[in-house]
Amino acid sequence: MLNKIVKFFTSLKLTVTCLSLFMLIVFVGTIAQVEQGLYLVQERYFKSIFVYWGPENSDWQIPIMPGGYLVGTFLMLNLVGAFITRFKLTKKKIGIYISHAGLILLLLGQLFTDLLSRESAMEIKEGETVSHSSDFRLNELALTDHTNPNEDKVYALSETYIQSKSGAVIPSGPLPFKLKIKDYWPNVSLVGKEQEGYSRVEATSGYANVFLKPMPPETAMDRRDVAAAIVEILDGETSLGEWLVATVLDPQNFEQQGKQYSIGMRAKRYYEDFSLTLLKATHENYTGTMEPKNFASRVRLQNENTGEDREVLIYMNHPLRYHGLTFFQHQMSANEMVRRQGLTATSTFQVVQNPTWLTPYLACTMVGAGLTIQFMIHLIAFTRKRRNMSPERSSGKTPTAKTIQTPTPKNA
Amino acid sequence: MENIKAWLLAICFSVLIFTGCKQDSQIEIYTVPKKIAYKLPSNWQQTQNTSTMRLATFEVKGENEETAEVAILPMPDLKVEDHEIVNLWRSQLQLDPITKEEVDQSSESVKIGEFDGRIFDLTAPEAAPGEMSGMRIITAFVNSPIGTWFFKMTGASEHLEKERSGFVSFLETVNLSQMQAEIKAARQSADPHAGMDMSQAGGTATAPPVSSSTNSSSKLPKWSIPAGWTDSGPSSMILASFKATGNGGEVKITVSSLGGAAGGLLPNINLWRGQVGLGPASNTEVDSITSDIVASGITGKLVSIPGTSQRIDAAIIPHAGQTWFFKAMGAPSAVQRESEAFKSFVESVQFNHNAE
Repeated sequence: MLNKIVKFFTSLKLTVTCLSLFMLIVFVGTIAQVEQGLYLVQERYFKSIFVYWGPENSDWQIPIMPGGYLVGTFLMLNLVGAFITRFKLTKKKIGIYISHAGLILLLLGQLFTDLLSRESAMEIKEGETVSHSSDFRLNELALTDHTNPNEDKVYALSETYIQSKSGAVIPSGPLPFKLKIKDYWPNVSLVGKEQEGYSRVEATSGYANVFLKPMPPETAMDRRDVAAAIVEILDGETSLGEWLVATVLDPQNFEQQGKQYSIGMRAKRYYEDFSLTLLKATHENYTGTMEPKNFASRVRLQNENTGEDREVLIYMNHPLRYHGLTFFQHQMSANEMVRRQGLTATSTFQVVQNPTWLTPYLACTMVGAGLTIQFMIHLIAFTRKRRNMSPERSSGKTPTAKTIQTPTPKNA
Repeated sequence: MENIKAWLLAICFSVLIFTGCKQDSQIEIYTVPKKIAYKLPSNWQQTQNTSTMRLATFEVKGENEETAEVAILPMPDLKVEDHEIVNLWRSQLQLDPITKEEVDQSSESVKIGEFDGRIFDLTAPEAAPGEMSGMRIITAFVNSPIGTWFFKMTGASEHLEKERSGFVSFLETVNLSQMQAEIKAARQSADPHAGMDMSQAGGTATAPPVSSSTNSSSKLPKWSIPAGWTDSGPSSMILASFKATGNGGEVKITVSSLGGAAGGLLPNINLWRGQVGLGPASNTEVDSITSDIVASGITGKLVSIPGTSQRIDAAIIPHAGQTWFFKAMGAPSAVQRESEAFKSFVESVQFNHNAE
């Protein structure tokens, strides 16, 4: 039985099937991006075990094809299995082993990139000092205790957790209060007056006269969902009120037993132990057009732990790499029009953390080197064989004009 | 050997399954150091603001119990020249106005947080009447991307001489963006709808008009808006604003209020004179350039300041410890066109006596 399993996982048929399925997923996923947008497709087709389908407006879904993670796992097992079962350390096949190890590293690297990497945005106004970035997609419900004059204590609840607790009570436990998630919407539209399709939000505290309409998930790359929830805060069994929280609303303050708190939904934040101050944002367009010519940000980097305090210029294709993070110049709102309107110039950096960023480079080098080595082994062996087969070599003579006979054209 | 290979395979499979289980952390708890807006010297103490224009006021105590006052004044939309501001303070100390060049020469550069500002040191003449004699004002200001900010230290000349170094080191610790964040937070706690900005982060929400259960407009007096004026809404320092269009151009009418006497009549008139390109007026001229106007039974002052390219008509009405400013500004012919409408607008003002 074990042998059968080993045979299945190490067969070449499985390799071909997995590669074919990958092609299918990439093809279907690319087509689906038109309707569903990049992020949703990544989640549904590539970062999933199965791809599901269900009729519109119904709750049930059935798996229709394997997802990227499932096929990736099988291909990975297949490669590792083949590597282990067929591995016999011989000089002749060293190139093949290096290429296979490279392929395994490539797949593993991709898996760890999915698991460990994160992308966020750091928006800084000119003159402002910031030490956190906000996730591009993920949100959190932040309950903050502002009572201490020196520091804020933040209780951040992930959006997926809020979603899973919709309609339920989150016990106080580590939190200062019990939170009842009365309602949750992954994407909404909010307006300040009654409109068709919108219903009044029944919150007793904070924002009043807000009307809400649930929306389908956003598919455009440059827009993000507006997650919203109605949260009732309970101190023991006493209700302190119900608040509407949404990623487009500022946090709302409340007081309980002499302590100051705020509650709000916001993009998930990542705090760093260093800070960046935007000293100058430069936004140049090509003359007479709105086409950006140059985005550049002069920032001051300060790290109290290391005592660093230096200026850095970040501009297109010249990111700042610091503490395992890469800061790319992402967006800029600092042109003439912004300044003439008296608005504060703003620069946004894309902050990328990817501890496995080197693996694709290493993997490709290994595959390339492996193939070259294997080719060279064959080439050398071949040329040696040719040389050994040659009669002149065995007799010690070099070929002369006499020994080479060129064919004579028929009609000559 | 086969068995070992099978086991190796099983271990690899388990590792893959294990690493594939990605769990979002559900609740994270962490502390974030508060951003400090400024660091106070040990002999400084925060006191009550005497004007709504101030972000903060401090009392500076000397060794012999003498005191000086420091005020932080944010002016996000100020569009006047440095020398006009300096001349406003000079007039408070009974000093004659000076030219732009003289102002540049008499100021020094100073570090205000991240930015380079200017510092002015003004002392009243010995001959100045009453309590003004021997008074001194040390003022620093900065034109930053986050608006214009003033830091003003007022007190007896000798006391300020000792405290000047403390004032300069205080300026170095100032964090303008944090102070601006505090202004925003204070405004939001006064009006829970003030932060309802639906336009951020490319959200699908559309911006709702501000609809408030604790409408700040309830603090406003009642008035009747002349025909042809359109409401442009409040802004940071402006409680209400209107626009009047017609032949000759647009006139912007604004309503604002400041605590106390708000610097007095003449300094304000001189500030406006500066805005339309006129030199400061003297104390003796005040009566000749102003007239009385009655609003809500209170007699205030009406002034018309015609510059070459801009004209300002303004009314100053004191009410319940506040000074109310009604100001119409635009091209001279446009303001002239609206002058009667502006006057009747000011006269229509009815302060809500119960609300104060």
